[in-house]
Amino acid sequence: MTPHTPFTAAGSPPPAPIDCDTAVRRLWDYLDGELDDRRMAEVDTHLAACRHCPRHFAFARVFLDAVATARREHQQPGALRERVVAALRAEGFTGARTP
Amino acid sequence: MTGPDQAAEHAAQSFVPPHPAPAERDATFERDVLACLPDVARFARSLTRDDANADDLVQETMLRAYRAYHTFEPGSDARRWLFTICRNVFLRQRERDLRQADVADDAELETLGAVWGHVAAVRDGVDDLFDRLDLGPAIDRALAELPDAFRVAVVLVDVEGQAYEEAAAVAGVPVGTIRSRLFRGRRLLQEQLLSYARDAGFAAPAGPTPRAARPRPRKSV
Repeated sequence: MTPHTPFTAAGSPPPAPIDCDTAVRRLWDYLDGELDDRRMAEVDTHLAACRHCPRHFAFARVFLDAVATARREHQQPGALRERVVAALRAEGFTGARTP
Repeated sequence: MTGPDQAAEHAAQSFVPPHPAPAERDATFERDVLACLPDVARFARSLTRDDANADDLVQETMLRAYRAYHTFEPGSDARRWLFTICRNVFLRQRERDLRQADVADDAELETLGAVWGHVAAVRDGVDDLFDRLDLGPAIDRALAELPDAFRVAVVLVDVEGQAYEEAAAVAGVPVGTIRSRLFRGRRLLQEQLLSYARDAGFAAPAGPTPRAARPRPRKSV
């Protein structure tokens, strides 16, 4: 497959074509924003043209969102905060006064 | 442990409580450090897998942070600092080192595993499970069952939004190690959740629903 390779920035060369194997090996790094600009652009270009890889990337992305959301919905720090503040006050902490 | 972390730990050990504590210092501690309590609580829970022990760990973390607050550089990442203290307290309490964990050494292979997982999910009709099911309890259970090193990597990056380099600093391991642990942890999590969906009979007749996938924005700190 030969993906379209538009210029991504003035004066920079177009991203080099990459195949599906290369793209999926970069899946997590790409979704985590851990690739350098050139590799990110290569994956972007591949995803724009490939019929197969976007589904894998979308599945992985939804999975990551589900993990982050599930864990964040747990926090009920009210009682814990009171306990921690009480312990800090025993150390001399004067903040977090109750109105 | 890195230099600044070591300094913070040393300071926490040798601290003499302030009498009285400067009000300004306490105000900034409250604003910059105590405000991170929910994040620390979540991280502590991922370490202990037990609410009561997690609360103890959070309290000890905050106390050590307060004692060592004079070593904290204003404007630096308070969450990362707290996560590091929390992890160190946990390791001492458990007398167990996360570095001893069985570590995946082929991150790329783990990445391909995620794709194979998706292919299997499509085959079994559960590839849209994240859209159709409330997986919160299942994700909690699956995370709790992960080996410590993988769970810590997943929580730091996927829940707390740390970059690989930041998570590696907190865990006290090289970036490549945290990356491998993260990818292995994600694969194990996916396998658990897909197994859960299949066992629960959630197979759907419809095929996959493609969506745009873009890099995730990091959580601002």
